[in-house]
Amino acid sequence: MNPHTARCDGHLPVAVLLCAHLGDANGGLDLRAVREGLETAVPSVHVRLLDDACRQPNRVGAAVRASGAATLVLGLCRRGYAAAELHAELRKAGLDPLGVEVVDLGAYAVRVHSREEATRKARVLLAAAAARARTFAGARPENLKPLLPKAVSRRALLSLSLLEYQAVAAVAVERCHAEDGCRECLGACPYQALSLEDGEIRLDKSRCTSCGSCVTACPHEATDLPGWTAAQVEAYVGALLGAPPAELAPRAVLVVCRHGAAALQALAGTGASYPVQWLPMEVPSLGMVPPAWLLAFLHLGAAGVGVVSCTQGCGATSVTRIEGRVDFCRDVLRHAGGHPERVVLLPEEPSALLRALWTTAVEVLQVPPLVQAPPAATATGDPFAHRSRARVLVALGERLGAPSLAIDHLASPFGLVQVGAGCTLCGGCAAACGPGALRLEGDGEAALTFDPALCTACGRCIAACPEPDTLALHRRTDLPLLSRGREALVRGRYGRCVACGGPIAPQPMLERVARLLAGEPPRTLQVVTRYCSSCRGLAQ
Amino acid sequence: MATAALRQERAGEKFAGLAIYPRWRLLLRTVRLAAGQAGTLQADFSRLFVAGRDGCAPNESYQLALDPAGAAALAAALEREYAGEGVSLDPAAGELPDHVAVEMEFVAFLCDRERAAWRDRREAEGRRLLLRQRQFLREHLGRWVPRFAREVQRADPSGWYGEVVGAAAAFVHHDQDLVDLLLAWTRDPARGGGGGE
Repeated sequence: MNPHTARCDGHLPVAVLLCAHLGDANGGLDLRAVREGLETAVPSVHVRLLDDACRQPNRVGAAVRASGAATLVLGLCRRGYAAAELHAELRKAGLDPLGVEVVDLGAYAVRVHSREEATRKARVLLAAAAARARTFAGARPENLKPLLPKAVSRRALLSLSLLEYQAVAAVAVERCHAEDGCRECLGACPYQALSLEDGEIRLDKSRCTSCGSCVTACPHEATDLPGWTAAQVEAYVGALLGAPPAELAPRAVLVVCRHGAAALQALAGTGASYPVQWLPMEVPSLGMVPPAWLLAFLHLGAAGVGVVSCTQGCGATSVTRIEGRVDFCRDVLRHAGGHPERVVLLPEEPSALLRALWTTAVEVLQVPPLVQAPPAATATGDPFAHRSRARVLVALGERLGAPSLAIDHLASPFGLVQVGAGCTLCGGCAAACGPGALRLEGDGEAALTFDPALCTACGRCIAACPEPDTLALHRRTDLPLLSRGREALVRGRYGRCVACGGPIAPQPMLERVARLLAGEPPRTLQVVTRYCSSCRGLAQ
Repeated sequence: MATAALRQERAGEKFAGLAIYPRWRLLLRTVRLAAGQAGTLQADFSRLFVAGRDGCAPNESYQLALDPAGAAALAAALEREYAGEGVSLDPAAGELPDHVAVEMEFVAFLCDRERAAWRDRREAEGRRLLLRQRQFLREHLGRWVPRFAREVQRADPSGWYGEVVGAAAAFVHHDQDLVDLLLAWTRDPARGGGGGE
């Protein structure tokens, strides 16, 4: 039996390797409690301590091979391990390094909490990492960006004996709708790393910083970044909010990008402490976090959500975006009577962050969670998938007793298209709508239909409409409309060819043509509006 | 073939630093397991690549759906590229210049010469050959091999050729990344590169 495909009780076996130094005296973890807690709570998990795991990658490879595990979680005292060597060892052991979870238990538990608290938090963080590791579906060559080693001789480089790799986003051609005019990922990328060539979206890896903005912007879920599929995020958050011990409650999600993670490390380096209920979730960038995610955390049982601000590295666009998104979530909660302070933007400067973690905890953690028990999986179904964002908001609105909530907000993730009397049903807007919110449908009767749950308020429909002042777009989140789904905005019968009976064009368009040709000879108007393109020759 | 694959598999851990390593190891295992299946492989080969029923012809002109004039122009351009580096097709072998094996062998040839250039400290020649590889990979193999792999995997989802061609596509992609990386490195004066693209 191949150990890498073997499953125990239907679960992919996970090895959790913990650096033995995490158990050092003076406030280290109770490693026995961590191991027993994990082995009780997480099925098919194999926990092992490794001496000096942070510095000796070859030991990690050997331990993985001995465990026969299909995937791995590493609990380390510190970052800064030799990634290239570790990844080579993992490949030899048959694991994909991009699927391996590394948890900085030093910065997130040991150095910021008491031994008892740190042990509880470590159990939760490791369970969450194991859940995400289990849902890793593999990476493609397109997801890999080799990096220049930080210090290397020319000889070593040209022999390519050891390279570091960064996970980057990749577009699955078979799911991409670029050919249908979708450009959502291009608009979302702050680095102009994506372009359209030969009808396909191409990624310039040298520009890509793996920020993930394109991944959550894609309405067709065609873009993936290893570690950040909707299934992986759901698995991680589900365990973060639901894994034992129950004593660690209530829980709040602390969303940090790479720079926010550095701020938390800096705090840990000062010996500061903050409430243990803040559970970090490191994301590639704040720009990739849509408002539906922040609200989904609450829907899945978080008492609050803190987003550590970032002004470094992701570009001004992303900072503005995340501020707007947090404000949108607060607006939703405010209008629904659900304590807007549950979602909060925190400063990144370490001392200010520390103060905010304490003061916000008082506001957030003393209010009971919106959801006492996480909803059944069927009720939320892929809460972090793009297609589920409307469902999350509708479900949250119902839970808050505000099913008719409707708000206008500049950062609303949904748009609302309205059509005036001048629409000719030409379909230009539908052809420009990459997410597929607008469609021109119908055989006997033409209908321009709209599904607000799919609209991203990109505005391309407005640009495509040839009729002035006919189409309007509002950034609006309207739960009743989101619940109703697709509806017809305009309908019109097809004008029929007097020769063959086939459709010519929608009647409103023919009427528009008639107005445009009002000064032309009547025969011209008759030919154009009464005959289809195939039969016009007969008419002349 | 199986013995050679096993030998490669055992010796290959030195490539574990490259992300392509797991795919390469899987490929070697696939090759090894193919021993004794010559009849099946031959039938699959004919179905996929010779009869052309499944649209898997291993040629650039076919995969890019070029018309006869376009295919002829491509063949002429490729032969000029090969001649520019001092190589040509053996007329007796009856090979087409846009066949996947021919194009890949040409890149391997450039790579081998590049290795020799670095070894002999002919840095300008090393960079020139890297640029040639990048150009050829972008303009030819990188444009059509991913499509070819998708076609073969669709027609042969669990088969030997699906794995082999999938590995080839992964290798082409990875090779493009490595060539870009090396070029960036050789352009960087701080690292000793001399620039000059």
